[in-house]
Amino acid sequence: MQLLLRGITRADAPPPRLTFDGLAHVEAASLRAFASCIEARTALGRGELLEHHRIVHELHWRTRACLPVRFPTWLDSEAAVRTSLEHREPELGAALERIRDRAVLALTVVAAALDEREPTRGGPGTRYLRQRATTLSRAEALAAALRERAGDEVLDISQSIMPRSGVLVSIAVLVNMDRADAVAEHLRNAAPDGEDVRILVNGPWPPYTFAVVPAREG
Amino acid sequence: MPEYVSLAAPDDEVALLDLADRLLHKGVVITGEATISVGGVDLIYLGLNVLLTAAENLVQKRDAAAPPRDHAG
Repeated sequence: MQLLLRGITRADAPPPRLTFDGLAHVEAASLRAFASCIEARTALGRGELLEHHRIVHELHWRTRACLPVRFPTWLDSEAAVRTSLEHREPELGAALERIRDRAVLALTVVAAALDEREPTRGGPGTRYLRQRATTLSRAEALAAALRERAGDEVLDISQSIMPRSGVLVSIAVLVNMDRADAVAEHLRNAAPDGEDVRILVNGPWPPYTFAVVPAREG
Repeated sequence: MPEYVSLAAPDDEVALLDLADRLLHKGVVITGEATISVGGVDLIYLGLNVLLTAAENLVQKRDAAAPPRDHAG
């Protein structure tokens, strides 16, 4: 039997009753890890990715603080889970408090039309580099404008400029879980005037981006 | 409780890729005896990129089929 780790919560309250197949929990010290029991390690795809998201999502909303575990993380036994929890209890506990009652909104800014400022002079290489520089500058300005418009309800921000083709900016904002829908609505309409972009606001999601546990030296 | 990611609209492929990025690159890394399955990650990205590449190809083919625009100079 293999364990596919899902998330980590505090163990100071009874575990929430969830209906996912094979989901079990293991406790060690003040922590509780949730994992799916699977016969053998198998190839994972879109379905398993979304299942992981659903489990972590429900755990986070039921307990108000669930640290998502990097997907896909496998452990061989419950004893191995306990060892991992005990080994890192202080860091995991501190990380849980940082994300308590918080959720992530993911903003993806997509260019709605080709850039009108596309350079027409020079060879293909020069045009490519000029185009890229123009788009980079535009994306950075957009990110700055969105950060400014995000307002005081945003507790933390992580951004990525031009993370992939067609996407100008990807931003994750950390907000209070209970205010997430209102902040999302505000951000959907935050495109600066004159910018022909679509802002896709996804979430609220569990705080994947901000579930950071520093590496332990030695 | 908010709804999970819906996959009904075309834009949600972007949402799915964004979600995949976070699931596969963020989150707590448990050290010790744990194994993060690199092969599994590759498979997931392969599946997603096939979708995105297919969409980009469609756009390029559509643009190539459109009448050429006049350019000054």
